[in-house]
Amino acid sequence: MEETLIACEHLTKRFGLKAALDDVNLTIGRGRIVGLLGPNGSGKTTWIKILCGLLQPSSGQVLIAGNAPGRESKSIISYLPDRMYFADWMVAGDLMDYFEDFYADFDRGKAERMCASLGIQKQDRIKTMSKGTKEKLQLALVMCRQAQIYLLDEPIAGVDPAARDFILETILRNYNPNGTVIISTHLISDVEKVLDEVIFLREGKIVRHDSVDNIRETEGKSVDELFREVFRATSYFPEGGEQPWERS
Amino acid sequence: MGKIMKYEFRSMFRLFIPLWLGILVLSVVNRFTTNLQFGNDKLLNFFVGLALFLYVVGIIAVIIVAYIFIVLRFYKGLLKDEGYLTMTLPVSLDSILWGKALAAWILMVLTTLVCLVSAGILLLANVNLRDLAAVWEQTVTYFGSVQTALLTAQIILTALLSTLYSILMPYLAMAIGHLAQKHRVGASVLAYVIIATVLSTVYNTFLTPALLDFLVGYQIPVLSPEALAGMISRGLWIYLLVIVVSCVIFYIPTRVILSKKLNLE
Repeated sequence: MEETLIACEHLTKRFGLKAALDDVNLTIGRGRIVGLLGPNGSGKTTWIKILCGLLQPSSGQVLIAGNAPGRESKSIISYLPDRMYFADWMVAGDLMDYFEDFYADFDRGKAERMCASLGIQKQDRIKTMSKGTKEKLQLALVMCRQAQIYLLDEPIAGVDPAARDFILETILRNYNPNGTVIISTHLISDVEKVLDEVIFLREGKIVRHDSVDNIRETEGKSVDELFREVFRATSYFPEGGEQPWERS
Repeated sequence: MGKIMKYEFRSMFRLFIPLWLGILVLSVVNRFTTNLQFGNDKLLNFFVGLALFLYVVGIIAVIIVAYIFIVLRFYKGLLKDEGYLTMTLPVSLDSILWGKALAAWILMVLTTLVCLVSAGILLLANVNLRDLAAVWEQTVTYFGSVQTALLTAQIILTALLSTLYSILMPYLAMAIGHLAQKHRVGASVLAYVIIATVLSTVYNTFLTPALLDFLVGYQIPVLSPEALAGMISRGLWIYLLVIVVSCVIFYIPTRVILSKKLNLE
């Protein structure tokens, strides 16, 4: 089993003239929980989509367990996009059949137990479910795979704190410990306690890739504090000046 | 590919089995009502006319719905949110595209068969089966059994492949529309119109004269039946070749765009 799961070399993605990812180099090993952190528009989703094979890089390359994105990589990546991808004609049971048919690592029994605990019946139509239920169902299906890589794009954005706890617990209890979990988010304080390492992305560039322990030791502060420092936006003051004392 | 088709069928049969049954029921109803219309009862005549009208509208509607369904399955399944699941399945792009195209093709063929069966139900109420058999036998004696069999096979093959053609063409139009940054639906429609216009111009310029040369350029009345059958047959071969080449021309860029230029919103 190869130790390096993900390797990016000079990975660049341009949309028109704008570089969404700019010369990204990094490697990620096994058995890690990685936070992909950065403000909106920093390239998190673009990077995840390239790994999933939903976007082609403009230059550079990415290898997933030694392979370029393709059938092999897709069979070991469990991807949670930042939106609902269900066909609305399906019932919950259809979706489970679908995952079972296409993913060899899908644990059907576990999915059924999880749905039962969420109060989702097999014959429930996707169309009639609430947004929150759909999100939970999608997370449950993604986490019921024994995947090598879980790519979770903003799993806790736009939900209340109680649901955040549910989502993080579901991830931590169900992921394959030999695999690696990558969680993209801009809500650092909520995920900080579960992360092993963090990647800071800004304007398509990696500004820091380090273990959480190392950050705490060398910087003497939490990841959340460091994030705020690195990504501090300059507020607009109507009186002028960037700092409070500069204002008249 | 089989798995992709399995879910295409699941989604389409939910909708189309009731529609097909509806068409067949309407044709059975019409089979009896059309026999009633010789009466002088105006009200009865009205309902007979209404039943026939509903039947014709029903057939047209089912064909249109099937076509819209095929376009939407591709658009929503690959290019909108569902694409996030479909395009990350550990399945080759060829399997996805052909799985969808073949399932769509089967839907069209089955819908056409249902319409034919239903027309058969209706016709048999009014046309004698023996008359039809007689027409067939006349054709066979005129052209000879081998030629008739060949022509029949060619006509059926042409119909089947034209159906695939009519599915792959909107696929290409939607793939081209996907290249636009925004207004992708509009861009797809525009692409469709342009493809259709270019192709019909090409056909009118090159294909039609070629076919007419075979069919009309000679003096049909003085031709022997064998020569006439041979000519029709050659015309159909050319037509088939054009369809097959067009299907390849539709498929390859669709595949290239979806593998290299996919950019889901």
